[in-house]
Amino acid sequence: MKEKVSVRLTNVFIEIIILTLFFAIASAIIIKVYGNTIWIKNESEIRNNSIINSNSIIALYKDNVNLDEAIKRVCKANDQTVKNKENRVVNLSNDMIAKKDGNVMLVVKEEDKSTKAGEYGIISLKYYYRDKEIYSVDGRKYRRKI
Amino acid sequence: MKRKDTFGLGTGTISIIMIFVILCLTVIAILSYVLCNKDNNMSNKKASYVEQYYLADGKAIDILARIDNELYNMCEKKISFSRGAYEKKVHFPEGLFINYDKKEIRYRVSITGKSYLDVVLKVNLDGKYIDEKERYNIKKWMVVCKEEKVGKANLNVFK
Repeated sequence: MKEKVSVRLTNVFIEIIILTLFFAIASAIIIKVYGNTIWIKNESEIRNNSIINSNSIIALYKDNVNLDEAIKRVCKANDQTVKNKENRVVNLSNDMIAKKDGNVMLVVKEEDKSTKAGEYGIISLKYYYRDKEIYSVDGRKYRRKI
Repeated sequence: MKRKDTFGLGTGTISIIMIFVILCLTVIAILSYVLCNKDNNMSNKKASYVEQYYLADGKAIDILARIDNELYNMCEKKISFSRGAYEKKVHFPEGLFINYDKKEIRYRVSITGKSYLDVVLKVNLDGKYIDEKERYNIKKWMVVCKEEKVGKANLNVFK
């Protein structure tokens, strides 16, 4: 009787060990898949919002609104803009992904050219998510001289 | 008749439950990954189309700037917008459709293989009065999708 009980206990013990190992390996793989899924979801969500955001900025810019004013109008009030010599860097707040702050950065570069008849401006918008470029687009405007 | 001494789960039952749970989790994980990947591909396609659109728009603006430059020169030299303008060293960019009778300049910039940007400018320069402020008006700045051509081989579907 005692032998039977001990054999059964050993069997259960071996089963638990095998199950634990199996669960550990399987859960590691599943967590990795979930992690990738969340990363891809965030990326596509940010890209979609970036398209809308950049379209609005370019539309305002084409309508001869000052670039700083255009950024101010499109981005949220608490988004901080750092102005360098070459470009403007905007740290976007939770506009892009819900309940997550400070991961998305917008870098705006402006260039002006002028001809005899008019002048045209080029803006380049680049969106970064954790230092990875998610979306970039260039917009142009032309204004004839009067 | 023998009676069971113990009551509870057998040795393999927990394993079966565990495998079932892991199988469920795996299926859900794979499904959500596939869905997100599909969304991501869609958003990539959308982004690339928008990028291509702005690229075409930029090219169209470049051409517009070059046309305006020529029109400005014409204003300065008091040259009217007519067929004789070409002989008077007015060089518009290549690929334009110029209608001197209607006083229109038309050009197309390809966005993708299936769509293009169609631009029509109304030129306001005539021989009598040259208004420098309104050298041109943009009459049309529109995205046009090309019609898909169906080959003869594809029409056999209804036979």
